[in-house]
Amino acid sequence: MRGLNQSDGGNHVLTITVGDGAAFGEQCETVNTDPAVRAARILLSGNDATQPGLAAILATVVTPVVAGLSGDVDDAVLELALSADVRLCEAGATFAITQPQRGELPSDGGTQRLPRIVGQGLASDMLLTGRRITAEEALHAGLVTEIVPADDVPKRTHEIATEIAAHGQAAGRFTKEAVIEGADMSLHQSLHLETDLAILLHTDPERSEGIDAFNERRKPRFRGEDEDA
Amino acid sequence: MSDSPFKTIVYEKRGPVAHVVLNRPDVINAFNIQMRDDLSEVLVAIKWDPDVRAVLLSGAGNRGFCAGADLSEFGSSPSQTEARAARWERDIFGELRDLKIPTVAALHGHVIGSGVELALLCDIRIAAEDAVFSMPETYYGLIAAAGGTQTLQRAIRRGRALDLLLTGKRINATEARNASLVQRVVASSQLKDESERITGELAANDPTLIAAIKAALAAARDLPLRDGLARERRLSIMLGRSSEGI
Repeated sequence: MRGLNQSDGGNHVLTITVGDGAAFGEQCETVNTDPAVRAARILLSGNDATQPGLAAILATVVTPVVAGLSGDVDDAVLELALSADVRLCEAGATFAITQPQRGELPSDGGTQRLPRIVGQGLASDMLLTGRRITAEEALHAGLVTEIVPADDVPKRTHEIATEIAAHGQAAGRFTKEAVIEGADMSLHQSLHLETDLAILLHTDPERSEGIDAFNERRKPRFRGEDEDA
Repeated sequence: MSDSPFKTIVYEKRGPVAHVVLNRPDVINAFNIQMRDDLSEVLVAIKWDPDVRAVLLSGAGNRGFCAGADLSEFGSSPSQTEARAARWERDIFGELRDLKIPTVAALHGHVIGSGVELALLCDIRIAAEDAVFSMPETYYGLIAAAGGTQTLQRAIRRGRALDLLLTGKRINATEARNASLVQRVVASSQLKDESERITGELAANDPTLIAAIKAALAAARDLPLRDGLARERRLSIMLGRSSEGI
C-alpha cells in the first residue's frame, strides 16, 4: 500500500486509505473515478501531510476514508486526520494542536472538526493550552476507535478499509453523507435527509443483492469481479 | 399476557409504567411491518394515556433485544414514492422519540441494526452484560434508516458512529458503555429488576417537570445555544420555578 505514508523528519507517519473500492493503494485504484479521490491522490502523492488545505480536499472525498496514525500527530497532520472517517493509531501515538502556541490559528478545520469529534471540553483544552494527549485519551474521547501495535498500523488500516470496501458502495457513501451533513441539522431535518437517502438507495442494485444474500443466508456479491470468487 | 391483541409485541400497563415487549423471540424480535404497525398503535395509545408515566421497552426470549429489520420483507414496497410516504405515514420512530414521558430500553443479547436504533430513541439505555451491538446495514448494501445515522452520532460522537456504521463491527456491553451508547450495564440476571426499578422511579417523578427536561434536552440537541437558553428560560417560567424575572 502506498498512500500518504510520511511526515516531517519521520516523526509523523500518516497512512490514509480510502474505502469502498477506492484506495490510495494499488488494490482498488482502477475502479475509482471519483474526481475528489483523484484530486486527493494527486495531492497526497506529494507525501507532505502538512501541505496547506489538504484536510479541506480530503473532506470532499465522498467515499469512506480510513486513517492510520503514528508518532506525534500534530497540527496540520491532525487536521488532515480529522477529515477522515475512521481513525486508528499506534499505542505510542500522541495528538496535539501547537499552532496557537506559535501565535497561529489552525486553519484547516482544526477548530471546527476537533470539537465535533472529541467534544468541546477536550477540544478547548487542546486548542487553548496546547496539551498533548495520549493514544489512550484519544481512544476514550473517540478521536480514534482502535489502538494497535506500531508495526501493525498499515496492515490494520488496510484491513479496515478492505472491510468497508467489501460493503455496499453507495450504502457506505450515503452513510457517510448522512452522518456528516446531518450533524449540522436539527434531528428532525437530519432524519428527513436519512430517509431520502435510504429511499434513493432503493435504486441501487447492490441493495437488492444484499437483501437477496441475507435471505439466502450467503455473503453478498457486490463487485462484478467477485462473482466467481 | 397470552391474550395480547398484538401479533408482534406484548403491551401491558402495570401501575404508571407501560411495558412494551418486542415479541418475536423465534427470530430474535426482528423488526417487521407488523411490528411497526403494532408499535404505532401502542405508542399513540401511550401518548394519550394520562395514567402512563414511563415506558420500558424490552425484548422477549433469551437470545436478544432485537436482531434488526426483517429483511425478508424488504423490497415489498411497490415504489419509492410509496415507500417514502409509508415511512412518514406511521412515523413510529418519531412517536417514540417525542414521547413526553421517560423511556427506558432494557437491552440483552443481540442488539443489531434497528434494535440499536429503537434503543437510541429512548432516554435511558440499560444493557445486560451479555449484550452485543452492531450496525451491519452497509454490509448488506443498506443504510441505517430508523434514525441511526443521526441518533448514533449524537449519542457517541462522529468518529465512533462512522466506525460502527461503516465497518459493521460488533461491540460488547462494556465497550458500549465506554462509548456512551448505553448509560448503565448490569448483570444479565439483574436486567429485568434493575430496568423495572429505574423505570418505576422515573414514573414517580412530576410529569410536568420531566416533560420540561425532555423539551429542554431536545432544544440543546437542535438549537443554537442562544435559542436553547431562551427555551430553557421559557420552560422554567412555565413551570413557575424561575427565581428571576423575564
